[in-house]
Amino acid sequence: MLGPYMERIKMLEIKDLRAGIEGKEILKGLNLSVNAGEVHAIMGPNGSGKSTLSKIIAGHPQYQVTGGSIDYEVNFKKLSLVGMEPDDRAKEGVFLAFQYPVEIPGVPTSVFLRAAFNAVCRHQGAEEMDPIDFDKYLRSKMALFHMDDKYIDRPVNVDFSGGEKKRNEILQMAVLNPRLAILDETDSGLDIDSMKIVAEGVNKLKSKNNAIILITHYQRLLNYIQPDFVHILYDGKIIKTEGKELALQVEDKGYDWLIK
Amino acid sequence: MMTEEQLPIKVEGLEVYQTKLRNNSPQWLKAWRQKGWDKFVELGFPMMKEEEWKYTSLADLAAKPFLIPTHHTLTEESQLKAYMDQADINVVLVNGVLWGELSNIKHLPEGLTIKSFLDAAVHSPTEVNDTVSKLTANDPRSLLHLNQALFLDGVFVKVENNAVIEPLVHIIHVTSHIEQDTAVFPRSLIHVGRGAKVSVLESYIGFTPNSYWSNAVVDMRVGENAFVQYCKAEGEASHTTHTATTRIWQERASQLEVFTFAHKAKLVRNNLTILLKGEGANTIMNGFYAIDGTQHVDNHTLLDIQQPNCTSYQLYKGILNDAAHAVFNGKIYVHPLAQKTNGYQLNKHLVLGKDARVDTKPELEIFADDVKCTHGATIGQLSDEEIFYLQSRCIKKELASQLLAKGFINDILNTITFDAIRLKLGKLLAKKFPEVKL
Repeated sequence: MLGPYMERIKMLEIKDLRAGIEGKEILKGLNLSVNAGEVHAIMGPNGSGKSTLSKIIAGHPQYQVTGGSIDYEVNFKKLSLVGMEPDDRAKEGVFLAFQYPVEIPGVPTSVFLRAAFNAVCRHQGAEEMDPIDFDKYLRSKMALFHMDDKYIDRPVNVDFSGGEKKRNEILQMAVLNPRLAILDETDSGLDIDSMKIVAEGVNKLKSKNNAIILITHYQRLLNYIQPDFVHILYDGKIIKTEGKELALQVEDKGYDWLIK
Repeated sequence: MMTEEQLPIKVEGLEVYQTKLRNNSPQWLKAWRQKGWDKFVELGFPMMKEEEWKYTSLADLAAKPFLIPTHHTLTEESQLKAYMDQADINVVLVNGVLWGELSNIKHLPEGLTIKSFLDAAVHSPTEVNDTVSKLTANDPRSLLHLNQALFLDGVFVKVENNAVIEPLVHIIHVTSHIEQDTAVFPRSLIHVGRGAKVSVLESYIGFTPNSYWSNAVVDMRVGENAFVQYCKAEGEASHTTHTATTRIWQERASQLEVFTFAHKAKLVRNNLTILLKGEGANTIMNGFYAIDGTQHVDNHTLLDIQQPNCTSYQLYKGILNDAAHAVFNGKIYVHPLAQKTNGYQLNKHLVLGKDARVDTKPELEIFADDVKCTHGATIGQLSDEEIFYLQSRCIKKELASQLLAKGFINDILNTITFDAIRLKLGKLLAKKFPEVKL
């Protein structure tokens, strides 16, 4: 599982984070530390701030950070994410799989993903991929998620079912190969077969160089993706952190015993 | 008789011009022109107090005297060629008159006839008269009658029964070499026979710094079981007023795909009327407008469903910048006989300009009881959520906005299944919405 302490790279460190939307504070002093190679699950009742946390890490413009810090380390570079544009964060390897992926009529999936992929290439000073090579690359990633080729030319997420949209999010993750991936309720609305495919894909992408944060309501997904840590988020703070067995306890007893 | 001061329109040298028109016209056309003139004089210019013209003012137009073009030559050949394709059947009209140099209509595919309107009026009087008089009877739209009275010439297209015309028929109405405040009256008549198949693009293009008024009329008959793709593309010179009346008559089980495009004139008013006169006819009527500055585009459509089992699908999209103003009025009239009608209408706007304005109104008048009709309209900006999604995928904010706007446009242009038409509209739009560099 984890290597000796000294080998771990601290990828994300959130300290005393206070943030909200339209003047309403949602995160009230949140602390979280994630190392490269780890999988963290964040669970909690509705309205506790799970989605807010994911959007704030990715840089949603409607949310304001009012206190604390989000430090991110990649390639021996230390960055403070607060105030960075979302696309700059993404180019540094932060990825958010949306709970509700957005439809983009008129923009084919292949065009959209190549734009994203080449933006990262440019940022890293690497050569851009031409449409033909990218097409091959994209098809290989789609095979990974048992996705039909027809999606390549279809507009992004338009007329996709809920499950297809979620699978498309994980496909994008595979294409962009991020360092820090946050999966915001990727399991919600998925049937068991789709969830297995998604989980299988995530497990393939997992490595000692990247970290994954799973935001979820249910323990179900954690049967397929084994977390190293389970955090309980309640009222804008992490109130308990343990190993994967905590998820089973939540499944069994709900959240009430943790809140009291 | 009215004195010149009492006429609703002032045209320099009107009497001389009308004498010339009379001398050029066969008897029936003379009488028909006179009818048009009398009707226009009776009705006058449309006024904003009329419900149909509530949001569009022609007051400026009505106030000024007009000139009639005297030249019918073209010096902007190279500019026009850049827009044309040799693979198409090109029909170029300059200020209303066929321009042979750029047209390639000498050797047409079997089953296709293209000639000047006057030629047809002389040689096929019954055929021409039959359509135009049937369509015109009791039409209250005065601009239509003005065209009928004053159009110099135009084009007649005929597709014989069961003929399949593969190449695009591209009719280009060019306005060029005119004085300030000239009025032109483009006119087209298109007959598509039973079981025939054809695709037609009509482009209205202007090469002049002078302002003019183009008042066009297009009449089309689509025969039983025929399949027609028809696109009207407005690419006039800026400073121009473009008004157009398009009337299409569909027979039984015919299929029609109409696309109406506007992007350049200062003021555009399109009146599109489709008469479903045969059972089981099928209509797709889509449209797109991209306007900025103080441009004004008004689309009035009427789908007149007279027979049972007809289906219609209508999607109009507009993208507005600055202080542009868009007007949409989509009327669907279902006659008592037209049971099992299935109608769908949607009008969507992407508003990018702070001072832009949209007036949109569906109008459903249904007199049959077993009918399914739905309609809707949206007016929106680029949402933060969409931009954030693209940004979270490494795409810069400005680029994200461009990509979303382009997507909004492609979404509607992609409904045009005939590639040659779609590519030409893309060419026209390239100045306003250049290719997004990703």
